[in-house]
Amino acid sequence: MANRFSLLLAIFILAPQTLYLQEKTEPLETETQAPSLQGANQLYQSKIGSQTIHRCPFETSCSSFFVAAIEKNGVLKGTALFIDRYFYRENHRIPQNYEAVTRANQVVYRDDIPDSLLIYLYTD
Amino acid sequence: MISRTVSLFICILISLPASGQDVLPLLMEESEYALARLELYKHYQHPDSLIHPKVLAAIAYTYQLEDQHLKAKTLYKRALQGSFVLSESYVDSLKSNLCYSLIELNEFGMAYGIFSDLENEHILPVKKRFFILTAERQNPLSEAVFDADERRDFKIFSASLKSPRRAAWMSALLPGLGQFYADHPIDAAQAFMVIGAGTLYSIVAFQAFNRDETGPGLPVFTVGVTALFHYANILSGKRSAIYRNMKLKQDYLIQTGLNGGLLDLSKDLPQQPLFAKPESLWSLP
Repeated sequence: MANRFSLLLAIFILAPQTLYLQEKTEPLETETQAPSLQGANQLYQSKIGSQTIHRCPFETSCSSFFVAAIEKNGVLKGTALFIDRYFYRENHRIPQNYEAVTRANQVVYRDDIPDSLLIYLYTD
Repeated sequence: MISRTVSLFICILISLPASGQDVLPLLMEESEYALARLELYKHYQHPDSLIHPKVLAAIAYTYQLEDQHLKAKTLYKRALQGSFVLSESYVDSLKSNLCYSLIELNEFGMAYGIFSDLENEHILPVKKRFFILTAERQNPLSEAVFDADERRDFKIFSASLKSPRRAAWMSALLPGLGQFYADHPIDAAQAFMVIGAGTLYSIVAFQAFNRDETGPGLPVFTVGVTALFHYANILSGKRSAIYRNMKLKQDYLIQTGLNGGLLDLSKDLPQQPLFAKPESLWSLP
């Protein structure tokens, strides 16, 4: 729980800084759009995540999901999607709500909505 | 497991080309699809010639069995380009399997374009699968695909699906309501508590600001954070409904016995002239 709140605090501190940097500079490549957030995430993945017991029940780990969500949807929506997954959807009801798949002899749950599915089913 | 793989691999290395007839079915039976592909490529890939479409189809089939549908799709398409050497029923089987992979890749439009002209027993489960997985589109059900009982069950099933748009609106009105509607009650409770706490904290921060106990930074920060969490809650409502629908469809496919349904193309291989020496392959029309 403490781990969760320290990560959230880092996001709150770094997100406004990232928005400020985006306003001041020319449009950049995706990798450099959110240097602080991505840097913090890389630091988490290399220093913290690798030291803790692997507990993420989803197929894609939360930190990788965060990076992918920001790259695909931008800082605001990407962060919101991460909050949705980390604070709302991760609970003990996961096995009832998501499709189970086996990856590296471990049961994990699929948490991705393909764009092609959204376009075909939910776009008028 | 490793010793079995090694022994099979040695068996392949020392085997003569004609022995592929014996090794390939064994490999398929043992689910050694990578080795089966190696065997197929070893015998039939030629630098100056096209691979026989049936071999390509068999390779595609091995990928399909491993859930590598993108590779399977590419190879099935290549196999269909050379379909003039194949029988009509075999081409229909290939198209059925291609449609299966397309549906797995969520390329529903392309799958519909291919199978709409097909009328055979192989394509029927693929068509049923398509209509179940795209139930939200409310495509008209063909009587040739679903009988009266199946249509009645399908109607009940499709009525149980949740509307993502409605869930998003409900979450926007009251945090967690959309998730609750989408049968994610714990998600709903978490969203309600987090946003409720954020709202209370924002009110306290505003009251402190009105009493000049703090600057404008704290209320702006708390409202901003709460707004971000509320935005996440709206997205969550929508996504919960989509996940609920995906889960319901998977359950319905299992219930109706349609969770699978690939054609076993490999069984057709040993009887065909594919396991002769490569020269005879290149002379096919």
